[in-house]
Amino acid sequence: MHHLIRGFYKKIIHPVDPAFFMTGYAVKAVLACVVALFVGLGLQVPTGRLQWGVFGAFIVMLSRAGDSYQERKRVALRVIFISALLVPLSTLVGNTDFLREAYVFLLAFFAFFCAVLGLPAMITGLGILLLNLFALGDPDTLSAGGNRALLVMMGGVLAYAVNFFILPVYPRKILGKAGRSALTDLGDYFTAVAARIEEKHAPEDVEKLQDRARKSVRRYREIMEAMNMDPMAGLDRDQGPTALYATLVRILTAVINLNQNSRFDKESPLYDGVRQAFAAMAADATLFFERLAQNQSGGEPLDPAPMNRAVDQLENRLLELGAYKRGDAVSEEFLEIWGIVHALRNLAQELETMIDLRIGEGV
Amino acid sequence: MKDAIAKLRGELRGDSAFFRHAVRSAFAVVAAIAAAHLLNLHHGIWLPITVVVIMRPSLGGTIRHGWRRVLGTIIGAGVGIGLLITAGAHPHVLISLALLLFLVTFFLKQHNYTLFVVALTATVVIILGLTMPMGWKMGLVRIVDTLIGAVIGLGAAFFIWPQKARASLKKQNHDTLIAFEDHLGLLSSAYLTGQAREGEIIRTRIHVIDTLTKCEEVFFEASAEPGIRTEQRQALSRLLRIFFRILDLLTSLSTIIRRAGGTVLPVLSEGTEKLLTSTRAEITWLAAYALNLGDLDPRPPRTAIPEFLETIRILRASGEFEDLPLARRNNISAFIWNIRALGEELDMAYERIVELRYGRKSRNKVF
Repeated sequence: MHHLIRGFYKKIIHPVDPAFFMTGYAVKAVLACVVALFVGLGLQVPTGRLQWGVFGAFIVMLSRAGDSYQERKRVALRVIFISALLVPLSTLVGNTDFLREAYVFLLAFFAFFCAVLGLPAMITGLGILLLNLFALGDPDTLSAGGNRALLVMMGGVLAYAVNFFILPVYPRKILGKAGRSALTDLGDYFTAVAARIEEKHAPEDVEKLQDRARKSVRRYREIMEAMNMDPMAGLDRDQGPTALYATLVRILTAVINLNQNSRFDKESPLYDGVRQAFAAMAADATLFFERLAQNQSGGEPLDPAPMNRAVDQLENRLLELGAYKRGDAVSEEFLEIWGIVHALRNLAQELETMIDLRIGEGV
Repeated sequence: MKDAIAKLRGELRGDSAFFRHAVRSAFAVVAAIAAAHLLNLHHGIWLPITVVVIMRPSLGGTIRHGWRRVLGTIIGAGVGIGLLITAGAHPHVLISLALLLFLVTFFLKQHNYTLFVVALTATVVIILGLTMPMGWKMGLVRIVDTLIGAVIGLGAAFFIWPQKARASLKKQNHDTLIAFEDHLGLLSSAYLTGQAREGEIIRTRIHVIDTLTKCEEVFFEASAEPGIRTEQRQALSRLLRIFFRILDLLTSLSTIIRRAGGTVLPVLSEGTEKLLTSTRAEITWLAAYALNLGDLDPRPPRTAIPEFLETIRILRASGEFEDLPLARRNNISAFIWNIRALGEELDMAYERIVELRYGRKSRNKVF
């Protein structure tokens, strides 16, 4: 990718939606609605009724409930079935004043009460409610309602086909993207922490990036949950999506730990002695993060040796200064800076674990 | 299916928060439909739609969501009207813009509700403006209908079984502190036995994050409710920041524990155990205090840290650590630093909870 586009992507788009998950889904939703519209036109459905096919497609795309792929398919079919049943009734009931209000009360009560079964069930319930509100708002005869129901079914079935057969979701591909974006965010967070240690960044940047990295790791988990993979099961494994999740959490932990150790006196002469070695290590680790993120989709295995050597050099440089033998005050400063070395060593170990990790295996 | 029915039946009772929310929202939707008919509104369907999307279980949640919906609608309709007036002669340009905005709508949905509503409203106003005889005036209709819908939704939230988010603040604070205590308990056991159960540690850590996220949401909703003063909002926000710092310290502790390299030194074993136990006891006490339980023991004294530091000083002076590898010594130092910082954060959390309960000058009780 051209560096200008890449920069734009990293700064503007990536913080908001790293892998365009939702936008991709939106394109699919638009496509499903457009297909429903064109099929309706092809079947010579009168212009005033075309929207019901689109409503059917939209309601199916909106109902993303279900822990697994199979469950989602079942939910989509249920939504089509319930909508087709209720739309004629709503169309007819809309004609009678008090009956309409009583009917809406019951419908709305059940739609909101679905929240007991979880957020996805509630969204589905509210989607069905909205569809029926449209029918109630434009009352007609039962046969007109039946026509609408047929169109809703047609749109729903077309959306079902687009969503599950024509453009299906590949869980590991999405998880791979989410893992890569989480690693990129962790890399950015690490770079900011390293810069804070070198006093280049204001602390606010670090907090913002920490939050972003945390959310990114969390999103990876949410995607797993949405695909019926238990992120908690098999956290001790060394391959597969759960292993990647555990490693991402540990890398985040390691960078937070480094951040916790970054609040020492930057004017200390002791720090001056290791500043250069630290900068070299930080540059190596930043590069490693980038290559690790790129490498998630395959490629030459990375060599962790240069990064480990850089930590060794930093550690040796600090020890050469012999501060821990020079009285309490200097010894205290030494301990504070040693905290960074300790944290970097942890991070290097976690990154090394990441090298051989692939989500295509295990689970 | 059986489970789902059992769950639904279990909540079908007057004191259930789900039941009350459903009744409240259903009344609001009916009122919106009735209002649309009585006022003979153009596109009256927007009234119940607004109600459906803004209703939240808590009053604060409905206020926050309603406000963002109204604000987003006004801005979005303004954008749509502006585009229809300036580029109305070029429908193909407007259709392309509407399509682009529609994609942006989905893009924004996950991240910023107000911007999501701005994009959605602009799309709807452009499309309807192009296809309906009213043209750009559809934007004004959309604003008016959304405002009426929001007023109806807010009215229901205020007057039908109002559920204030601030009422659950105590429980949220308690749950968050208990989650911290659980996680620290596991970390303590790992440190004392020298065996870190990685899966378990990550599991409790995730539980802490989930609890904290829920707590944050309730804090925001409570802050939006009427009757809370600025200083109390600030105190809530400060308490939340303290909770996040405690999470960071626990995160840091878990790294230290994972790299401890064996069990605790025998000479430090007793002191370390006492230190960890007393820190956990302090969190448990604070959780009970946050819940405002009666007959609480006095706050546990903070003596374990100074005692432990004194032990370390004596052992260091007697050369007890001379033969230890440097990495191990520094791991112990990092552990002490973190546990001391954790104690300081707990002190601050206690101060904030006292402030929220009694106010800075023993007034303005939040909970």
